[in-house]
Amino acid sequence: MRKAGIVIVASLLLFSLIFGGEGMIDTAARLIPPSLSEPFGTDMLGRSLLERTAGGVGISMAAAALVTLFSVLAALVMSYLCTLPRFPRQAVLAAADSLKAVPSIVLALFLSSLSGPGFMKMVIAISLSHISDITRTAYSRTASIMSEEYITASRTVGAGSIRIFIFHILPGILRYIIMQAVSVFLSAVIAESTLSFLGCGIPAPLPSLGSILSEARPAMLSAPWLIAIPASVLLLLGTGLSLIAFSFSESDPSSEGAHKRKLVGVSEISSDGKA
Amino acid sequence: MRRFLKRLAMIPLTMLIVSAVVFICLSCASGDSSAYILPEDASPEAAAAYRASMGLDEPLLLRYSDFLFSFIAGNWGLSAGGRDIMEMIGTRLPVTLSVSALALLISLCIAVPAAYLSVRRKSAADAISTGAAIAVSSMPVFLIAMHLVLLFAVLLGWFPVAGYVPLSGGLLPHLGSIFLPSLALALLHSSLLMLLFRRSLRENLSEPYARAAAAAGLSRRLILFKGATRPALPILVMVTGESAAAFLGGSAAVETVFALPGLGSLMVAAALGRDTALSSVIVMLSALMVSLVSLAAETAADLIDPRRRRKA
Repeated sequence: MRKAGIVIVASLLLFSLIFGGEGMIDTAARLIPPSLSEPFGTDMLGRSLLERTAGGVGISMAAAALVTLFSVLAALVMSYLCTLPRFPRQAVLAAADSLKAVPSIVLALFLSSLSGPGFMKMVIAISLSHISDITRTAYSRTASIMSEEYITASRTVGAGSIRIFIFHILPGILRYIIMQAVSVFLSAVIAESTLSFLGCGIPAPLPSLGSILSEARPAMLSAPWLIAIPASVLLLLGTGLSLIAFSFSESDPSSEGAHKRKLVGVSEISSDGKA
Repeated sequence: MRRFLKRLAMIPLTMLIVSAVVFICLSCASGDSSAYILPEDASPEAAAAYRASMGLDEPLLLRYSDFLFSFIAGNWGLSAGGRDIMEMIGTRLPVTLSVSALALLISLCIAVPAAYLSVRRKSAADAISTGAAIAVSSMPVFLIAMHLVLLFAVLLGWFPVAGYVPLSGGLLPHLGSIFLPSLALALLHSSLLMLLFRRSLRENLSEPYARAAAAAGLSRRLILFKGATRPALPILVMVTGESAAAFLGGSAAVETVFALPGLGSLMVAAALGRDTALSSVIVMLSALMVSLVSLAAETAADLIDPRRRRKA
């Protein structure tokens, strides 16, 4: 399942790099259905849908990549802070949780209302809405490693916090950070397309799958390819990313389940009466 | 009980943090409205007088407490277009709430049976429902909504394409106007709900008590419904509670697609119209609503599953 997802996403990335562009306005060529010269047809301003769709995929992935980058950085910072002895974990968790109370889209809309929609505003809003989950995961994973004996041993020998972080904590949490990064990426792609659809995401001439779909709405019946094609591409992108994200959660038993099973294993042996 | 009070006390704290962030954003961004209102050649004295009259020269903390207390008091002021904010929100809130409530109901009706039907691994039902859940949950809400419009409203003509009919216009027309938007939100939520509920059911089925029950001769169905369900219920409640935030955000998209006069579309209008007064109120209201729903969900989950209470 993971391989299928990676193949889909990689080919979409390639597609966007090869064909991507803003599309030239050509009012003589408006609303042409898909044909040989224009494989995806043109929109109501005569721009090539192929170029715009491919460009939209690229821009959406770029925005999502930025969000994911911020999230991973935040996760690393939070994890390091968690290793420091007197860090107020509960307080920071509570503060992060209160950020979760505002939905990412609402937050992005609010930031747009201040001084107009913008790329960085959208990225910041989407990143902030994930901070709570990222912090929580980083803390729980880091804490479970910190309670291991080799950490105490390292500190006794004189290792500083940074050394402990790089050599002991990081390898342990890397897997979980990657899992979360994929999930954040998917969520960011969806959030970005929704915001662009509403008009508060990627600004005007630059294409985004959401804004292409929003522009195509009035022509839903007369030019169905304008909706069908970007919608299929968006669906494909989302499904590919979901397959990757989902493959992680299926193959890796969630911590709660594994913990329960471990306990259960012990009691099973003793209740057997055999050992 | 103590946990409930502790969680309840978190809500004002959350609101404080959210309102502080909102206020900081407001003061940083809008700068000083005197630049817009006053004519360009106004003298410094006139500018100072204007600022004093609007209370703009007060220290930041004072302005923040004004902001906070007027929000709590319900003194929300006027929007950029001059309409009373409280009245606007008052007329739009029921729309969003009714769509969300119906969406919740529909999602339960879809997710729970689907989870039970596909509990057995490697069955056809498993493949179909998992595939459908992944596909739907990877679509943004507006895409789901547009597909629904194309299928049910345009092609089949069973539901209106857009527009809102309040209850006063009749129960059936009202339900007809909110059914598709609710279905869009419900599909989004139910895919996640089904996956998580089913995973919990499967985990419970592999517990020793389930195997003991099977060895004792209880039917598979009985074990599933009576034994495995109860521990899985809290997950149902918790996921639903967390989705409250998603519903609010999603309703912005859904209300735009279906032209419903709800909070979501109001927020979009505020964003596009640079209406900071309106949007800041909506942001804080959203935070409040999400916090309350989360509180209700966690309390309900604690009531259902006593083990959660002991797990300090």
